Amino acid sequence: MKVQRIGILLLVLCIIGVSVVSTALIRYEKRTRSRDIVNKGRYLVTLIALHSIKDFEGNKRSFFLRTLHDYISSEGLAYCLIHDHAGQPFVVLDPYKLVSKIPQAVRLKSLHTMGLTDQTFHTSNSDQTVYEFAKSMFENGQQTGTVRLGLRPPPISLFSMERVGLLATIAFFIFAMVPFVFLGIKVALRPLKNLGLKMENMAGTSTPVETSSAKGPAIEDVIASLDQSLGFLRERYKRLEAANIESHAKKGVIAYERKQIARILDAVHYGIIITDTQDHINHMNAHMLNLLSKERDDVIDRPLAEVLEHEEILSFASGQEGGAQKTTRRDMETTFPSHAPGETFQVTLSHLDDGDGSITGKVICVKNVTTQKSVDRAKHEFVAHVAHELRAPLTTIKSYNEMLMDGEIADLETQKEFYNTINEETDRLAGLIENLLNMSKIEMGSLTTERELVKTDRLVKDCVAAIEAPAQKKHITIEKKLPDKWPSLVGDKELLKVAMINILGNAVKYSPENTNITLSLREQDHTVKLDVLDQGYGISEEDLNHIFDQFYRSSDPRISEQTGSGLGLAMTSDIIQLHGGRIEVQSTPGDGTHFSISLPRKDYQLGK
Amino acid sequence: MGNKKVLIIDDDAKIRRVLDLRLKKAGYQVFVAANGEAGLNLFRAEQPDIIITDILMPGKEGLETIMELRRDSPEVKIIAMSGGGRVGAEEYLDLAKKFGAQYAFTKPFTGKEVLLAVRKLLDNSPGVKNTFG
Repeated sequence: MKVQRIGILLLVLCIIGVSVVSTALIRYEKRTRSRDIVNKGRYLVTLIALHSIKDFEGNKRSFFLRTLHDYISSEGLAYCLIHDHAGQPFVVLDPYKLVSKIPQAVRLKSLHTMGLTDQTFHTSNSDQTVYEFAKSMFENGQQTGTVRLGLRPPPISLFSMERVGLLATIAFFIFAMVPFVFLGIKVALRPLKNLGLKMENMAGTSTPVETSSAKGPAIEDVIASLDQSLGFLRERYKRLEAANIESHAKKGVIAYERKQIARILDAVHYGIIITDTQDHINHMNAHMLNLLSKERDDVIDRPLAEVLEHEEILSFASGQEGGAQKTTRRDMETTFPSHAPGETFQVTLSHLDDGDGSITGKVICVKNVTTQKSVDRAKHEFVAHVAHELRAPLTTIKSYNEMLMDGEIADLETQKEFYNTINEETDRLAGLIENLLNMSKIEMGSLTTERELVKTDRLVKDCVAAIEAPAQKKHITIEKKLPDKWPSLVGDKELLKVAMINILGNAVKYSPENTNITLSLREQDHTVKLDVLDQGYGISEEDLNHIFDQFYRSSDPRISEQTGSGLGLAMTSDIIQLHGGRIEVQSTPGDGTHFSISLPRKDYQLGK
Repeated sequence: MGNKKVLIIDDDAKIRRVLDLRLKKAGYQVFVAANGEAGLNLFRAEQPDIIITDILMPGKEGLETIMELRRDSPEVKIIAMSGGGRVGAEEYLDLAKKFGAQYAFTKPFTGKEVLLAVRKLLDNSPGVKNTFG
């Protein structure tokens, strides 16, 4: 089928080729004929015009006309007109009745132009071209008439006898080409012979395709084979597409998981750098990027040494690569002065392996341990302070007891003084231990503190009772401004008592003899306000800034002489804060101190 | 020996009292001061043979006092004592020794231990050791 189509196509192409060639030939022929007619017309009209007009009169005219008719008709003569000097035609040869159809303009131009003219015109009712040649006739220098000759170009026919040779040549070439073209097509289609088998092999089928006849593979067989192969290919494509979709889905899941892991790593509050075996960065989490002030695109796949610019960590990460240390997790402490001045970082190096023990990369964690270090330091300092506070009374007890035991103190008065001191220092130790336990309780917060109804009348009564004895000893009067209707609080009664006794006790401890302490309690805007005003030594401005710091002791000798652990006010402040309250202090050295405590008034509700 | 002068500098009145009594009973002439400033004044006035000073005191504290004492009198014998504070007692006493204290006590100590150290230093007997090595 295909071959037939190709044959038809070739035939059409041949016809088109022949038509094009023929048209070109006809055009060429037309141009040649036109040129010939012009030459012939000019020659003939000039020849006729050489005659005297008298040569066309009488018998001569009929001879002329016959000669003209017989001879020139075969040359395409259309008409011949000879006009006298007045322009009147007196010889008219018009076998095709064309003279009447000659346009006026042509006639006028021919008659009134001296010398030779040639014009072409189309007859009004046909497309026929007519060439008119005209020439004036002269005799003795006078124009005696005008000869007008009309010539028609002969019809042009492609298949005229004179072209038999040319046409035969064209036909020969066309027929000669056909076998060559056929052979060419055959040669061109030869690769298709094995294409079917190849396609089957590609499709993975072993079914042979009947591709050959005695004359070799027919194009239909090849097409059938191609169709079959295309079927296989379509199936394979579908399978591949299904596999591709599955692979795409898996890639999506992997990409999602990678993103999730990256998000998790970004959520971690320390820096993470993951490198490959060549120390190129595979991942850097947001915290680390932030610490180094870098963008993720600027660090991924770049050498660690170029990105980190931290000699200490780089040598730590690359310095000890040998032997057992490969799998050992190591730590170091360092700083990033340019990025995080004053902060301490712990760098941990771990190695990644592929499960078979081969190292595949490193994980460097950079954790800000400034707070932890500070907490550790504070803890260490606290323990050191506590030790100091315990050692001082112990030294006194041991030394005083030793003197007594050695019998160094003979008089009873001194002995009594020593026993009293030992007793006081023992109380001091017990108080200190009590304070430490309370502080521990406060630090644990609501986990260990009681939430009970605290009646302020009872609280105030207990606190005043606790300081009455030392106050009386110093002849200090306690003035009380108390409400008729006592507000209540909810909280830990024992801790609140410790806080208030601390304030009242300090007022007594740091006031000279024969002074007043004013204690007032009132309710204002759902708040219980407790004020303690003394006429004591007062607190310097510098001391006021540290008055609630743990273990802070004033350098004022009147204060430092008094026994104290430096924990009382720190603890009081913590207790008030634990109960949602506020403590404020105002003081003027020499005039006295005013402590003001505000606690939210709460009514005890069952179930809370 | 009774002529030997001892200066005690400590902000803790009870420690001052017990050391004062212990050393007086042992026959020393004892002067007491509650802080470094008062101690230095007494030192300049009385030119004691030995100074027993606490390290952590309000005002002019022990280490500063030892440095000044050393500057004024390179030969004076110094015993430092401390119960610690913000850092451990040992660290303070180690510093005190570096600054020139011959002897250093960590609280809790007893008056008798201090007396023995005083005696050893004033008799210039060799082999004096401090209590923490």
